Amino acid sequence: MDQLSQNLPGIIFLLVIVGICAFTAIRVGVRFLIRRLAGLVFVLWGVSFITFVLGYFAPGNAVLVNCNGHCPRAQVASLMHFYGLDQGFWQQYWHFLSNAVRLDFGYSYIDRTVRVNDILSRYVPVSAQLGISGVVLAVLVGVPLGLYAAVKANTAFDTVAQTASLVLFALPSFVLIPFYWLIMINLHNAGLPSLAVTGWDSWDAMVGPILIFGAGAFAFFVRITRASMLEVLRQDYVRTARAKGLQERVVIWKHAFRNALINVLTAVGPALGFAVGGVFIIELLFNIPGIGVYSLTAIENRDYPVVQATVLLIAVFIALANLLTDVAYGIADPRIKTQ
Amino acid sequence: MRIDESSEQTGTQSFNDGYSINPGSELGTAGFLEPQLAIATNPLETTLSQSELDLRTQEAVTEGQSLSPIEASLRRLGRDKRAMVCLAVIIFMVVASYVFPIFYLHMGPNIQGGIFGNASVPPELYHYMQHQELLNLDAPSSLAHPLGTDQLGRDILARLMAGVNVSIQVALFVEIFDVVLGLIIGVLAGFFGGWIDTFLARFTDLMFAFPTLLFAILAAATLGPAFVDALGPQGRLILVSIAIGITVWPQMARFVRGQTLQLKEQQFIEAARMSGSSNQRIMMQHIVPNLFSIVVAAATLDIVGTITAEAAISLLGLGVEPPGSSLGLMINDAAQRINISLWEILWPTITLSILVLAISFLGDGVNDAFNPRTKD
Amino acid sequence: MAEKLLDVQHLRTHFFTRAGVVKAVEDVSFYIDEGETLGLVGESGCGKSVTSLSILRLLESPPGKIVGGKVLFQGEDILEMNREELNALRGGRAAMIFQDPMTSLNPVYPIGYQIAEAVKAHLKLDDKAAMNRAVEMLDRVRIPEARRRLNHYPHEFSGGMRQRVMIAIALSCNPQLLIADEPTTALDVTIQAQVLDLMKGLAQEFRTATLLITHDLGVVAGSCDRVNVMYAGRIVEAAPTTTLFAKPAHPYTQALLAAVPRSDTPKGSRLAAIGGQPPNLINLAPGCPFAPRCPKAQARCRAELPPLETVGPNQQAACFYPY
Ligand SMILES: Nc1ncnc2c1ncn2[C@@H]1O[C@H](COP(=O)(O)OP(=O)(O)OP(=O)(O)O)[C@@H](O)[C@H]1O
Ligand SMILES: [Mg+2]
Repeated sequence: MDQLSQNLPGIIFLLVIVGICAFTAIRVGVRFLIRRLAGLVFVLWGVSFITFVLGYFAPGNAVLVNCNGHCPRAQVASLMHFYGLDQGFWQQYWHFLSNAVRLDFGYSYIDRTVRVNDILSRYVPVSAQLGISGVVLAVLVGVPLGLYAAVKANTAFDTVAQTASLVLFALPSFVLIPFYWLIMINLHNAGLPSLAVTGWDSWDAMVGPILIFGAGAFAFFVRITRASMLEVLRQDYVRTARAKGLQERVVIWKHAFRNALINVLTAVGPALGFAVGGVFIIELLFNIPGIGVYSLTAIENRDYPVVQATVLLIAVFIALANLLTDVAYGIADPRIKTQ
Repeated sequence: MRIDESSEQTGTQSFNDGYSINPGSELGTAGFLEPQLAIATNPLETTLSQSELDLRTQEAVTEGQSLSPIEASLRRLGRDKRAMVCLAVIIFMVVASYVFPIFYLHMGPNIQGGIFGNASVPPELYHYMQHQELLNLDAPSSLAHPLGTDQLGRDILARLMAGVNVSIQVALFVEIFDVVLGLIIGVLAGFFGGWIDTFLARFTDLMFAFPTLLFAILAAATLGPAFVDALGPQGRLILVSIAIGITVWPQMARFVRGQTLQLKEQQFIEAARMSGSSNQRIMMQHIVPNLFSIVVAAATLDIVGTITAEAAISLLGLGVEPPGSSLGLMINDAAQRINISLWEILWPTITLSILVLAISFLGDGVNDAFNPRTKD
Repeated sequence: MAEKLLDVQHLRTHFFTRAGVVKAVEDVSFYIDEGETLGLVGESGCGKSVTSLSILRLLESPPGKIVGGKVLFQGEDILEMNREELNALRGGRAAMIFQDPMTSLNPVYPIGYQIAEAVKAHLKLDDKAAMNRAVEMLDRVRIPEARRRLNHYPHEFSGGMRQRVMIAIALSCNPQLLIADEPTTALDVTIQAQVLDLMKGLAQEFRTATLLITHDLGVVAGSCDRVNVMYAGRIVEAAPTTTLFAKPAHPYTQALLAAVPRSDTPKGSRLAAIGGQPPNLINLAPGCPFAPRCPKAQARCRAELPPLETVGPNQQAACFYPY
């Protein structure tokens, strides 16, 4: 029972994946699914290989980290053995890979009693909370705004939205942080209501980081929605819809937006990848106890298992997001089905 | 004719946003390229695109003499006020950050300072970006320190200029890497297809899972110490630049590949082939020159990503190491002290913002000027 | 006879582009009687599509703008209609078919839905009745197994079939006017005649007047009661089809007729095309726009614009030296 509850997230995760695959196979076709999955396997393998190789050739190993280089020989040997570092390249790789497949990343170099998985399960949820709420917010606000800007193309609203999104898109998120602080500190000093400038323990501390994290993705969605909408509004079939005498609302939402959405959908994966780097910096500057900050400490301590696991986790997440995007695209666009 | 048009459209569309729509996915162009049968049976028949084309030539003609496409694009760019202002800002920042420090070392009064506060310190010393004036920490702006000093008493203006230098060096290095590799692999993949095309597709897929920042963090974390041992304090920065380069070139290669594929189908290439030109000649003489606009526009946008990536990595403490300077490093240093001196963080932030925005807006202008069909 | 169904008066449509104002349609007037078929012919770029789009106000704006004229439909000026009136007209009393069937249908909806949608908008039928109407229309345009194909997407149909679907959509609400902008140009030659015949037959059956835009004079000869010839944004000749073919008045019409491919010309060989290029619609020189290419041009042609005047029974031409 205990074991079941421990593995519950993994099981749910697997069930969701299987469900999506089955749905895709039915809706879009088995060949499409197989090709996508093969691509995913390749990417996952490549990502894990790169991660392993970089870790393997990294200088300084577990032993040095564990006892500052002053260990007795016997202890060195036993530690090397414990972490499997006395094996050859391929053996170590096999070890790494077979464990990674089971989502097991071994023990921290800092403390051989701490499992990397425990570290992950402690810090990842915070980062996920930050990242997911940021991106969801970005989509929920960015897409409608982009749509509206496209429909109102070349008006003042459009110009403002376009310039603002270009600025937000170009600026890295960490540039926004000082301005946020400036505003909040001044509000605070003036005795006006303000939000906290660091931490993650109350809702008012969460607002700033989430908004700032989502800003870039928000701008991205405004831009891509606007661009695809403009492209679609120029298409012949939109003119056909108008020629049928449909109401403008129907033309925009049913005919244009439905098509533009396909384009927007393909951009979700890249947008996630684009946004993910921001986690590290935002956590660092806002003092948020997430995996980003923890892995920075791990880097300092040369705690490679933690670094590898973090990187792998993010890369797998992005690869999965891309797969889902592709699948969603396959479902949304009927032209894919009978390819 | 029509088929080319539509494929170009999908190409430029993804291009405009600086994002490829799922590289490596065969979904990208599915369904848009269905063959369209337009058989000319009639003397009146030409496609609408022909008249659009005429319109464009007319535009060139009304501007005076007939111009080559690149000259026409440059002229369009020259008329874009926003882009020109941005270009001026960029040039100013680049030139000033290299030239001004030389004069800056001789500007300003001698100040009372040193470890005991009783020595006379000349600007040659205190305007050096690593010099610490330990009795003058977090000072607001003054005659000697126009932008004040940081938490170690270093002159902020001097460090800013050094930071901009780092940004520019990294950007240049990465761009050369990006353009050279992207151009070579992209042209070969587009021209020959085959295994090199497959390699590009797979590599792009792979790099897609590694956002620039993540890959640079991984590289700096694992190989950083080794690079520092081998190459000295600059080692980290070189490593980070290489890591950034590795993540950006596939994007460039994909744009180049797409354009090459289109060019390959054009009549003048066919004509060159008929007249017995070698593949190498066709590539060098007919394809590469026509890639100019797409490469310039993509590179401008890539520079933005590169500069922010370097700043981010240094901010995380994995790039430039103290006592060296970098905009990211300055932001991180100052972030620790927002309660004491918030304004300190604003200087590097504003500088970085101006630099990045100027390049983005310029990139936007370049894109509009070189791909005019997107702005009609 | 019956009153004019559509009466276009002095229509002017311009495009405001960076390069200048493109006067795509300048002072165009013509009419269509109920149930008749009017042909509109001319070289590519002469403004046929812009004219037809202007009638239903379907132009993309900006850059396009109707800057003058009237478009009277059963006496009502379409250019003055408000949104609701316009929506009721479009697809209801006046329908349109476009040149390129490959891009004219929405790729993400099944064709049944796309037909039913028009039906529901105008005939106030419920979902089921609308779908039945869709099946009926698909049958009428001779798409086999109509009921089964209702749920198929556009990409599952060939170009000819898609154009039939477009015809089905257009005629589904019994319009009085059908505007067909080069409905067969994008189709394979072997299909062109089939689709054209189908359209003609249905139009007669539904007693729908047709504005048939084409640059194929062969099509005109077979389908139209009267013909208007357009050049550089203006009507240069208007006449009943038989008159036009027997006695073309305008040198441009004559040149067009001379260039018509004949059955004995080998396929693919170059035909006697009209020499020279159509003029730039931005900086039109004064005088007759055809003058630079006209074999009969005189000094007067280059200085003065010839008005459209009656030159024979039922025949009008814009030429100082007709025939
Ligand atoms: N969106 C636009 N912007 C600028 N000019 C345009 C635009 N659309 C059409 N034009 C111009 O209007 C003129 C008339 O175009 P139109 O499409 O009506 O020609 P057409 O007679 O239908 O030709 P085709 O036989 O090729 O369909 C052309 O010269 C074209 O350049
Ligand atoms: Mg047309």
